[in-house]
Amino acid sequence: MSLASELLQYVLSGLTMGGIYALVALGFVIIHNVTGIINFAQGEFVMLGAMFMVTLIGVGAPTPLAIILSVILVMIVVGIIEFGAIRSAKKASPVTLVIITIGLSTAIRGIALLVWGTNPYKLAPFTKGGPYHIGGATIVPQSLWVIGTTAVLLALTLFMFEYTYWGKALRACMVNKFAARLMGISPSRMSLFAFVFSAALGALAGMVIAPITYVTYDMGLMLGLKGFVAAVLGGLSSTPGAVIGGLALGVIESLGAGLLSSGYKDGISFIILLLVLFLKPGGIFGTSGTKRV
Amino acid sequence: MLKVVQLDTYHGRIRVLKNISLHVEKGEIVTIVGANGAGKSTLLGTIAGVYKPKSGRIFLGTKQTSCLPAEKVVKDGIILVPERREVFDSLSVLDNLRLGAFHRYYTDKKTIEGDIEKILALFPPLAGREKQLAGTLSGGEQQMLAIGRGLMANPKVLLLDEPSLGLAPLVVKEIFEILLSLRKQGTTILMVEQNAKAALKVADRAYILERGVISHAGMARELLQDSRVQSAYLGARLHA
Ligand SMILES: Nc1ncnc2c1ncn2[C@@H]1O[C@H](COP(=O)(O)OP(=O)(O)O)[C@@H](O)[C@H]1O
Ligand SMILES: [Mg+2]
Repeated sequence: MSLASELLQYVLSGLTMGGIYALVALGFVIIHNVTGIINFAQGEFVMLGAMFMVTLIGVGAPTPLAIILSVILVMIVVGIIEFGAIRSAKKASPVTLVIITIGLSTAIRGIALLVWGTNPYKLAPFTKGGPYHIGGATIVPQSLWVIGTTAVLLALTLFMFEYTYWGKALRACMVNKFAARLMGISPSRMSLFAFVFSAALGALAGMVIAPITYVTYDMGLMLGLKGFVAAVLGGLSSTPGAVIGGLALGVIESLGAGLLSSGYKDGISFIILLLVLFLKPGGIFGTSGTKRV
Repeated sequence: MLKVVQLDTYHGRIRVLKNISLHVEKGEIVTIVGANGAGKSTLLGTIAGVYKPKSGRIFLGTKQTSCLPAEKVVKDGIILVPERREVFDSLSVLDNLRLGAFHRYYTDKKTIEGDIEKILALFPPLAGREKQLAGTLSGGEQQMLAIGRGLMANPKVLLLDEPSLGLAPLVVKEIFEILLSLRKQGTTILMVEQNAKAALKVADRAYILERGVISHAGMARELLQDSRVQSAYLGARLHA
């Protein structure tokens, strides 16, 4: 394999994982912008999506039905969590709320361990065939599913924020919560909306990536952290920043693992996180110092 | 129309509003003038449901409104145009106006675009700039947008918190003339101001708020002539 095709290979697999990181990062950014909370349970939404899907497929549901049902289930679970655990603590300081989300993440993982055990599950690819060869590199059909799903979800998210009335109201809540309240936009309703929407993004990310990685009760931990790194890379409050951050992180990680050693793969993200926090706390794409979009 | 009875509001342990009573009749412009820190914003904020009063009552018509959260008070027909305008600066002028109608967006969908046309006609500097981001407007234009956004809620009472803040005298004049034409159309306005002279000139009636207490009340024209008011609030400004 020539160096060029080798690089292409790393970029392709980097974009696959990067798309997943981008979706998780988008969840972080949406919730953070609307509520000010950094939701460390975001990774668990990914795991729940994948686990529900594995379970539904296991009882014989066809793939499309399993996907739809899993998304709805995760949205309901997260809606209940927002209502029960986040809203009742809204008066608490941001640090307390972040600690609550860390607690939630541990709790969800614990329950998942009880329900699904420690064994990894494997999910069949959505479609058969492949792998395909592009310029000396190979790509499996599921990677195309991941990239395609990511693209569609990102487009949908951007469309929602740019062109729908609810999306505009959500943005109003992000840029000026006080004025939004005066217009009758209820921050607690927007918070619920942000959590449930992010849950759907996370769940779908979990389902499309499941056939590529194994599904385990603790898969959300690493995906959540990587998504967080991607969000920080993008400035934590910018939706396009989250997307670029996610894709960049995926590609850097894949190049690093390929060119240096695969043992460094996870370490790379955290070195990037530290570098960004030290050198450019506003994110690579964000404006340093200011928090809001 | 709007009636406030013996209102007390605290910020923490500090009693900021002390036994405030006032009323605004339909179609009136009433102003509350007072120095910085007198409690003007706290008073409007309490009426709008941003701050919870410790005691006292607020009526709109015959319905009591106090203690509701701000996002519900707007449904009753009270809208606050906050101090420093607080427009949604990364959204367009048009979106700001549309969001002003949030509480009635789905029920009045058909009339909203027409209402926006009316607002743009009322504030000529905004017309033709619907696509521009609100944050790129000048201070005076942002104030107009903030008032326009408030009007989009179709309020029974419009609360204005220092609309003249930080604006050049000519711009203040322009905005206050628009307030007069709003009154002609029947809009009811309660406005707090530090710029006593300008406010007393457009208002029908006025209250003077001093450290959380209403110290004078009367017809705006009379207060403008009142020697005590002149020395305390109009001083240099009267001759400016
Ligand atoms: N959110 C708040 N929390 C605590 N104290 C406040 C708050 N808002 C205003 N105050 C205090 O209440 C007093 C009145 O403030 P305010 O209503 O803003 O006056 P004005 O609008 O007349 O300048 C001031 O002493 C101010 O420091
Ligand atoms: Mg004030």
